[in-house]
Amino acid sequence: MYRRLPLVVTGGLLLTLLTAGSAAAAQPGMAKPAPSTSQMLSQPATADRTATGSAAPAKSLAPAGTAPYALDFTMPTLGKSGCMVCHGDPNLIRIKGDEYVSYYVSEAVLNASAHGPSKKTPSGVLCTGCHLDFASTGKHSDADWKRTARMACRACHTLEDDAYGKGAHAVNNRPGQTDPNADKKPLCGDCHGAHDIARLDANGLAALHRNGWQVCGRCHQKEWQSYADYYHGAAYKKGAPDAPACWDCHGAHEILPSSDRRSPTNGTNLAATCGGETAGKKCHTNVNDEFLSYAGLIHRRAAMLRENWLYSFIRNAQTGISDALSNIADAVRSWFG
Amino acid sequence: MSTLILTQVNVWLDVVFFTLYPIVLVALGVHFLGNVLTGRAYRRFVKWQWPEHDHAPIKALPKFLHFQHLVCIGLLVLSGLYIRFPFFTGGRPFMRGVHYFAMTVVMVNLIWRLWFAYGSRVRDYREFVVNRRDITTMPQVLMYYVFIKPSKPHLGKYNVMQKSTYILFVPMLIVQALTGLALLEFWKLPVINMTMSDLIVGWWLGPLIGSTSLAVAYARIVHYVINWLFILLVTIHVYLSVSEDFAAFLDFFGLGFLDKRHAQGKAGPAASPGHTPIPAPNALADDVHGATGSDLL
Repeated sequence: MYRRLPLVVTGGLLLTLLTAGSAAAAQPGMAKPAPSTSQMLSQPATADRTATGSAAPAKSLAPAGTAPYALDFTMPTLGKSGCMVCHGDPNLIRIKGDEYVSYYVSEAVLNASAHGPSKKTPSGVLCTGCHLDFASTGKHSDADWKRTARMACRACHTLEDDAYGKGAHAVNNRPGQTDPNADKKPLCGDCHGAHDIARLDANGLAALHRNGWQVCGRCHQKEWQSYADYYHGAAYKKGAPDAPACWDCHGAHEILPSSDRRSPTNGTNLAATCGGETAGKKCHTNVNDEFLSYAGLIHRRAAMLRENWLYSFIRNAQTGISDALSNIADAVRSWFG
Repeated sequence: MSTLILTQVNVWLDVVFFTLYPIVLVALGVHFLGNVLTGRAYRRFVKWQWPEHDHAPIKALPKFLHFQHLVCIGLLVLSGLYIRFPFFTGGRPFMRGVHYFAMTVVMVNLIWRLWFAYGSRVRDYREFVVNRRDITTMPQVLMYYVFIKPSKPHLGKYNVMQKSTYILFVPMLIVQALTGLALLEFWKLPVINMTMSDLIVGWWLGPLIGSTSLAVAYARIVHYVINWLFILLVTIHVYLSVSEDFAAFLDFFGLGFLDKRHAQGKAGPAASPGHTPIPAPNALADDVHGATGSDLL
């Protein structure tokens, strides 16, 4: 065993030298300057590496057999250096097909977010806290890169990740069968956003409460449209702070369909859901089965209205009269050329 | 009430009242057309001949009281409908505040008006009593309004329909206030440690039907129905005050005035150009349809 020691030490020294060399090159202002916006635009491989993963393999100094990392790449640091040298530039864009895609990150927005500097974490969460694979030069598709970034939350938010894993939003691979909807399943970032995740103070909670369309409605458009009864949906959509957001009834991370007995909106759990607390406030008291029948109105009222024969009659009459007037107006116009 | 009916009632109430209200507006339009065709509109709006008034000129205090009452009722309707059908963003807590403030003012008005009717030196409650002659002459009043008869009996300050409506307003206001307070499910009264919902409907209706929340749901239905009754009755009230006694209507808003020489049915020469009272043709003269002109609220 000791016969191999010189070989190991020599190898270690060589690796150390190489690493030190690349670290020295990584110091901003010392060696390779960060690429400018024009460089980013003219060098898609570099841009890919920084923002959406690496499409073209670059020079890798990593030992063979491990993931290829561009260790000479500018290291992320605080302030307007590191990642923000480029990503702090509002003009940092790439042309993807017919679209301009921005890679700009507003430092002000980031600092004001939940992951910005705070008493608990004075430096805030560094870019690499979430963008774990930022320097990887291995082949990533855009989807892979986004998945990594949007699932990075699990590293810290383990409880939420556990709950997410039990819900309908998690990829549900089964032995021998891949979830056919895996690509459509939302990741943390799809609901929570990225650099502007609000702090959970009073203002942040209020902002989150108003954000139902962004969080849920964009995907669940049918449910968003039907969320139209007076006391919940209509009031919520008009900014009532005491009206429930989607997650106040449906839960947050362990989202399940209402048909699932574990879902808070399943009939077996409605009493607890409606009679429970939302943001520290009890919604309804002493709920019973008859009272809970009102829950059917929350997403069904618009449909019930359409099914009402008098309402249908009036709407049809309105349409008929409107069409008739329109025809008459057309006829009159045609008479006068 | 079965669960099916409970949810259906909720939908039906909207459908019925949102259908009924345009029908009433159309009916009032048709009624005004009747005024035009029968020449009443010409006599009133062109010849400027309006009913004589028992209580002209209208004093400033009743005008002020009626005006602030009008504003409060308007605010109640506006804020109430907003709470049920929010039509702009972010105003719900504010509108609730407006609603409860206006309700408080209206309740003070009501208490004061009841005292004025029964406890004050004036004690005008008799003006509102529907007596036997009112009932026997009611068909003639109705026939006047549907243009079968040219005039209606003048029995007092108000006709039978006005009296009935104003009397009806009292319990409607009280029930409306109580059912409105019953919707306060979370605010606990300090001494008795009960919510308004418990105090008003919870303790008696709750056990009968299952829960306080359910009792509040019924209270909300009653509140909503009475709200629409107010909207319908006030719309008719405004229409009649304009079509039957526009002079008094203008006087109430400071845009005209009633000549005091026309008070007590003593018709004289017009005090101002175009202000000619209708001479009473017989004992069944045109009524003093001065609801807005002499009613204190």
